[in-house]
Amino acid sequence: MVTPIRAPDNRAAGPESETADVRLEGASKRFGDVWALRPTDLEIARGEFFSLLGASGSGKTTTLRLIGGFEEPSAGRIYLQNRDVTSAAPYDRPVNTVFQDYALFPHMTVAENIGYGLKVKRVERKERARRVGDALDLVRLSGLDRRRPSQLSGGQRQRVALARALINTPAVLLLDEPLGALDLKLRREMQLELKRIQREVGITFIYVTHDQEEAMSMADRIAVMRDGTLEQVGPPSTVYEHPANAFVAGFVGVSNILAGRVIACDGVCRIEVPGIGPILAATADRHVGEEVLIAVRPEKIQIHPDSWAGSHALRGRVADVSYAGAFTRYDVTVGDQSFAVLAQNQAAGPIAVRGEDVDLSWAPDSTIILPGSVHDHSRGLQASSATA
Amino acid sequence: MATYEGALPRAVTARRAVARQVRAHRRLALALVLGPPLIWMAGFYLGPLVYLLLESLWQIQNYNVVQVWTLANYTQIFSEPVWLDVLRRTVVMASLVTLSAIVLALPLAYFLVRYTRRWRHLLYLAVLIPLWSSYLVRVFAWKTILGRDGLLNTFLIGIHVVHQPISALLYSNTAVYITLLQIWLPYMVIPVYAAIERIPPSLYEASSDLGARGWRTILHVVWPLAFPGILAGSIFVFSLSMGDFITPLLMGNGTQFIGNVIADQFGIAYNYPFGAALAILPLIVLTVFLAIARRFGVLEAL
Repeated sequence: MVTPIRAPDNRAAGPESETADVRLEGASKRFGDVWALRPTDLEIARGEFFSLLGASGSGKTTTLRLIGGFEEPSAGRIYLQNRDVTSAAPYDRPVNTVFQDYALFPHMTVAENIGYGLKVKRVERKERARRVGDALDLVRLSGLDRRRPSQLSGGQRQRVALARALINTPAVLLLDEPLGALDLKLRREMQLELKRIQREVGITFIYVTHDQEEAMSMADRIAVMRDGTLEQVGPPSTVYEHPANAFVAGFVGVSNILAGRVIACDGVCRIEVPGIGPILAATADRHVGEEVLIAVRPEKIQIHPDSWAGSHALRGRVADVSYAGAFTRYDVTVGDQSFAVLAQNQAAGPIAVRGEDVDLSWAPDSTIILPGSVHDHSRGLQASSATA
Repeated sequence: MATYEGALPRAVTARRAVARQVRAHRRLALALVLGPPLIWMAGFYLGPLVYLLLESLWQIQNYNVVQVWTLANYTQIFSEPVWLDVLRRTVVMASLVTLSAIVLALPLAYFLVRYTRRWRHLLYLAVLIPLWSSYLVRVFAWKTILGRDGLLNTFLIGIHVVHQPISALLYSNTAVYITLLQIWLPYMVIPVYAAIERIPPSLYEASSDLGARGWRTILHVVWPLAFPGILAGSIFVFSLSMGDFITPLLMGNGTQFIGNVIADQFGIAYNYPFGAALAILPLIVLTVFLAIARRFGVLEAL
């Protein structure tokens, strides 16, 4: 479908403007003694689908509101398409927002809501009607233009909010947990829908969510936030496969996190984990004697009901089995450590029962040594064990 | 504790039996709840109104009201221009007071909701507190302000704006206007404040986000959403100003408003039927006003 709602043409010009649509330089926000956002540098590229992921209070919405102009940073600068907008009002910025509660005007019809931005910019009536029609097509709401927001379902309201923002062809679209109020099935539908629309219009999307699955499946890049800081920024696969620390390892997906000491390194490191035994990690470049934290993803672990012939298996006992259709989750106790293991149900049903003794194994390159020292992660450990 | 009914005191079982009956008969429950206020409204509000209408069709003979049907009271109202003049003057005054109340209340309510946080409730209370004091006290307060030796004159002389006290301040239509406005203003502020407070803050952000500066947001978002509150307040202020006869009596220069001429008919003129017919006039005006308000869906917003 060809749609007139597209990223403005001037965005394609010049190598200088090639750099970033959104740039934060040491931007921070304090409310009294509380840092909502600690000094932060961030660049978001043109046309990128970027997700700010974090729990409530992590600073993701503050970051969005700084970019939208609803808050002014306490320090630092914010650039949109290389223009300093640090102190510019929302109406002076080439961004539009899809609000968490949608913020539709209750006294206006769907068409009036969508056309509001054009009306304010004094776009002439006929032109406005045409573009509203196009926007309604884009979000597949044609025929509902005369309805009031109160006569719409949650999903429809969400689409109206989206159309109302997109019709102004912003350089950047900000979305603040836009699917938070929808039920799971509708969420999945709208996720696909949002991705389709983003591909069609080519506008930079900044998407705030606390749902890591949502962020992973939708975004080109993710910024994981905690306590007003960016813990890690990168593509979903990088964040998942190479978490920067224990917090990210536990927040994005589930991780089994162990503390140990490097006892030998020659291509593969042997890490002695007290109470469990030696574990192999494919990453080199660690000093012997160093204390490290390692993480293993549950789906990388193989569970063997009969004892396993290969080396370096961990012997444990199944403490719990949760059957979930496509896969089964086993909680296996090894020493004093509980391991989460996810196994696809390739044969029919679970392959081990509660109380059974099993062997666990995984490939050395599935062992993630978390960067930094153990002490950096003490807080993260608590967070991740709560998540797992 | 035993819960079977045999062990319970008689009163409790009886009460439970009643409760069961009420639950079983929803109409009875409804009647019990709605009955008293309906009877009150019918007996003390609707009844007198009907009686007023009937009385306006009666006449005076030998200084006594006789229940003989006549339209004479109404023909008199419409044949002697003075009565419609009084009505017109009253409507103009009530309209001026209402419009002024809107002009004052809208920015005040908007400011309270948007730009105060810690002081909001205190300031709002300051708007409401006059309602706790007697109506008469507030009228007399204006006498001490506007009077010949009043606060305003003393102040104006003190700063050498005038050398002689201005006696025209008190006992004028202006004094009536000022007093009515001050007395009835809270009835405008309350519904307008409530309407503006109900506007979710995200709507202001959305409007700004979509390119609207402050005044356009006020025009396109605040005004339409506050409008039901404004009309509701207008109903209060307009009808209260229209029916007021004490303020013109105490503050005016003898100019008659509809309330005064009605009061006179029930007082010195002793012509109840004619007074009743006069009283029907503001009722008609208010009914028209309410009908218009209803078209805007204001009554639902109250």
